Amino acid sequence: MTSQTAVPRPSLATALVLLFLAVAVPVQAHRVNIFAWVEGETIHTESKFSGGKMVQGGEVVVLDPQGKVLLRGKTDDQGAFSFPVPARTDLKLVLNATMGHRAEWTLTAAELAPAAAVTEPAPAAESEPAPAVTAPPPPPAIPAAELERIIDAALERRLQPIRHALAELKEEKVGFREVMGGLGYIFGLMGVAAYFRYRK
Amino acid sequence: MHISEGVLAAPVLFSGLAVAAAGTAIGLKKLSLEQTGRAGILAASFFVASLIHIPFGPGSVHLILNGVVGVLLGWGAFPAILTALTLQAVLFHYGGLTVLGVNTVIMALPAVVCHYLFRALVRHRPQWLTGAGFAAGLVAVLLAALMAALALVFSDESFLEAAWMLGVAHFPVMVIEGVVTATCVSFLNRVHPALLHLEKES
Repeated sequence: MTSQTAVPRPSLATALVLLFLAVAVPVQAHRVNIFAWVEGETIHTESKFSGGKMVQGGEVVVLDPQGKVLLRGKTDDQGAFSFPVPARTDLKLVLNATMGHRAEWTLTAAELAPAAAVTEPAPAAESEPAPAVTAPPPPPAIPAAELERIIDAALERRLQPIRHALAELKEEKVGFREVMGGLGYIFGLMGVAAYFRYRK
Repeated sequence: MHISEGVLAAPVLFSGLAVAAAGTAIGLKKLSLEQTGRAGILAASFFVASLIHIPFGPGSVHLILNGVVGVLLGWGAFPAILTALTLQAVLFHYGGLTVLGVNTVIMALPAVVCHYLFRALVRHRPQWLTGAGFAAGLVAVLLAALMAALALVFSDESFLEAAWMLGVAHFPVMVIEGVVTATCVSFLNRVHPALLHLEKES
């Protein structure tokens, strides 16, 4: 609701928009966020400015717990950058969005673990998970390991959107409470200062 | 204009802290009882202004309002902006506590410069009051962009590149803040001119 108040002059706005379309520079804001979630063997990341704009061309650096750089990449126009799991340890993802903007995200080894369990008993043929559920008469010819793999894969697919949503939830959004709390502090401090000036 | 944590080198952080502390000390010393209330109101405006995103231009930049704060407070801009930035860092996670000093200097020093700029302009040409207000609002943001670029020199970015990017991204903000400051100043001049000219000592 506050953002509407900032566009009072449409003619000025159009002129400036034209100017800025001509001079393409990266997005700039006061805070960036990077989210990451795991899907099978791939780590997906999404980078956003606090205004809701995506970080385009921001550098993402992946570090292991010892601070060694495992890989680097750049975000695309949607602020996304995906890469295969480089190591089964805790990973630190650092986003450098130029002009002094930086954000971090940590993936724990536990988050990367289920995929590791999947890869062990692999080689059997890909069978679609649907008939396995809907056809009770045939005896359980599928070996336990294979069954586990199928369930893992299906769960992974189903959980993926939830993981994404959870990652997004971690963003601390600025709400009414924060604003009111801040204003309260400022006026309280002002009162304290005024009190001491008055005492002099 | 908030630089994030973990970007700047320690010497930059410490010098920022030292300058911010000195500025705040001077500001608190100069702040009269009457000005204390004004500082509170302006700190509150500064605090909230960062939530107003400017939707045009290449990025999502936001209002800063350091020009208005500077014109009306002078050195008092330091304590006002430091307070507002601390709360932004704690509540909004803009910037951060370790970069607080640098961020304060980036925004408060241009505010103080614009205070004197505005005063000098108005003293010589009282009829240019609105224009002086516009200049103060615009220059405050421009200088803040240059200061931020200067702070970033010591990390990996080159000064010219960072200054150009910050300057271009903040161009809409500069124009809007020029208008806001001009409006504010001419309004105060009509309604309560004492607010603009009272502080003889500064």
